[in-house]
Amino acid sequence: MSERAARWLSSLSAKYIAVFALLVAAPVIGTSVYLLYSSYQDNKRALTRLQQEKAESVAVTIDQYFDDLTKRMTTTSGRYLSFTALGSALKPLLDGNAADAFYIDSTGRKTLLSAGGGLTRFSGNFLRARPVEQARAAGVFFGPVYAPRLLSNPRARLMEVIVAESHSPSGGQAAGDGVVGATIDLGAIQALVRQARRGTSAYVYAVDTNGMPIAHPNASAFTRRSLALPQVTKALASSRTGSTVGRNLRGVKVLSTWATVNRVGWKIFAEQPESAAFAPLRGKILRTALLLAAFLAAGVGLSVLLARRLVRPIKQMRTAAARIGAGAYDERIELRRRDELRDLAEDLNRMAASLQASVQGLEQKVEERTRELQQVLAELSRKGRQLEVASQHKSDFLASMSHELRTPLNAIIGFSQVLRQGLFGPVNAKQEEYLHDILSAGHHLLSLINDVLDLSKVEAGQVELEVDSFSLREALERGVVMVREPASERGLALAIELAPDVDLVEGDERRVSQVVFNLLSNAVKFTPEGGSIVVASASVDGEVQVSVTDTGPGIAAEERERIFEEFHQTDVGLRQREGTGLGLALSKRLVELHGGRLWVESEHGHGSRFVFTLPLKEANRRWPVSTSSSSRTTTRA
Amino acid sequence: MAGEYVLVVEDNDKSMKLFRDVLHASGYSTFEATTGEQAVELALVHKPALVLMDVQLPGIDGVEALEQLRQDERTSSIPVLALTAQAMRGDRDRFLAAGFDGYVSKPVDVDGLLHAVREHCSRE
Repeated sequence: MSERAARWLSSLSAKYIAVFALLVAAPVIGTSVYLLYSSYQDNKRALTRLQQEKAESVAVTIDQYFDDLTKRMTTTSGRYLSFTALGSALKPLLDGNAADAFYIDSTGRKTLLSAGGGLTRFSGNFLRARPVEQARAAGVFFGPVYAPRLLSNPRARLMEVIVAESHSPSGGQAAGDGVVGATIDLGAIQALVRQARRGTSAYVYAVDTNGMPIAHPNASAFTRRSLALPQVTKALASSRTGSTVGRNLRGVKVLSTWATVNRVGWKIFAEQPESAAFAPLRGKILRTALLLAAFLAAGVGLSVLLARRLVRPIKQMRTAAARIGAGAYDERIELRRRDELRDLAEDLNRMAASLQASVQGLEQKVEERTRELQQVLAELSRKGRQLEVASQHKSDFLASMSHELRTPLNAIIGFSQVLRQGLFGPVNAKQEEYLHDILSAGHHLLSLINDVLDLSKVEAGQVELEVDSFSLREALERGVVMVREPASERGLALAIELAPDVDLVEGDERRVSQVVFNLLSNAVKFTPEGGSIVVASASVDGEVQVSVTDTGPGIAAEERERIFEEFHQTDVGLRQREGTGLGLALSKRLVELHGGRLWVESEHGHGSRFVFTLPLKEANRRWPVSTSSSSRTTTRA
Repeated sequence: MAGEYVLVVEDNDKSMKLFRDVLHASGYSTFEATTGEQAVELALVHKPALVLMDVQLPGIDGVEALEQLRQDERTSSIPVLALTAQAMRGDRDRFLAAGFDGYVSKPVDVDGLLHAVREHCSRE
């Protein structure tokens, strides 16, 4: 199923139509089916009754026929008649469709009137014949039906009827002690049955107690000795009247009813094919179904119209709501109706209006705020430019200060060196000592200038790290070489302990070396003679730790933070009269520029351990790579 | 190699005196200029073995003077050392990139200066 179809199925219209079908169509169809069914039942009952009556009337007529016949036969009074008179008396029986007629008197003589008119008298005692005895006992004897062999008409049926003369049903005087018999041609019965067909679509047929066909509209029925149809079997085995659904000779389903001829026990059937029986009913069903379909179509059409009328404003509102949601706050819904949907539409309109109002308010506020923000931004950018200018000024100032301070130092240091080297004559011991002091003070001043400038540049954010990967091992070894001379002068042991897994790190090699040198020269400065200094590297938590451990006097707890401040020197440092008080401050800032930390672990009197961290090269992602082709990355801190 | 002429360009008279005395004491002769223009003129006239060039000068600065020397084929092969108080980080590289043959920062170390002078004079 496509998504679109699925969407439609879940839509309001589909639901409405489904509800309509459930509420209206189902009961209507159900009722109609019930009505049609009961109509069918009624129809069937009426048809059955009609056929029943037909069969019964035929049975009664046949009974009547036999009544008339036997009555006529009992009035023969042959005992008192002469031979020829007897012939005359028997003659009316022949007229009544008999094949022959006979009279047997009380002595057993038999007088036979044949169909041809010949009168014959047979001597002997015919009273002993079984049929005759039965007739004398019961008053009347109906012989079995049979087909005459010599006749060409297959429909021909004969039956012997014998009546006792003395047995008068009317109870009048006995006319004699003989019997009257006749061989009846059942053609009369067949005519009766044929007549019964008139005025109905049903046909009628008759069978005897053995199921042998006596009368039947279909000639082929007479080729059988017995009609072995289900309804015949059922009728012969059952009561006098009844009805069932059977089959005709062609095997077609028939609605079959039957009645019994009292005197002879024959069964009379009235039947018609079901299709014919229910033909009028089928027409009725068809008409009803058409009508129902028409009504349903009209109903569905009406409901679809109604659904559209209901759903259209909902869709309208939905579209409008969507447009309002998309920002078209001036969207309004116009509905020409007076119901809850109209109320809903007006609510929506009111909502849109208030939304419009608040959005406008909001927009105004946003505009105001934006204006304010723009002003602030303009102010900020102005300040930024001022700062830039100021920074540039500072930078220029630092550059020219460096230049201006170095120029006089050039003369001071240069002339001192010239004098001390004795280029213009020897100097005495005192002069030599002074020259040494001047040189020392000059160099101190130079390093002060360098440190102050460095620190200023770091704080002004003007230091650019030249970041590259370098060998930490080599940097540490270089640092140790640089302090080897002063260390050996003071009898200090210098050792390096390198972690094997730490070599390449990333950073500004010169700055890192500067930090290492600063820490090492501090250690050399403060460690008393005979002490030791250890430089070590280690990898800890993805960082490189570099430590410089000495056996110096240590740093008091209250001093540990302050030693990183500018121009702060410990008491020991002040006594040494060396150093600028800027080295640690600068080192700390340089390490922090690398994204590392610098701290001291110390106890007063038990030496100090200065530690700084650097990111490992592999783990390092702290410096953004500005150009991928360049192996050297410069970061402005 | 004593006796060679070194052109010293320096606007500070004390520094000039120092360089002059040191060079003379080491056997060099000197021409002296206090401006860039003067330096270019003297170089053309005397063709010194080496120029020691201060960078921050009145008029055209040391870098400009160096360019003029290099542009003239009569002076283009004279080695020129930058001799400057501009000794902040990166300055050394900047001057070498500008075309100076060497760099000596002020305040100078006398031995270092003489070493550099000797090195560049002996090249010829």
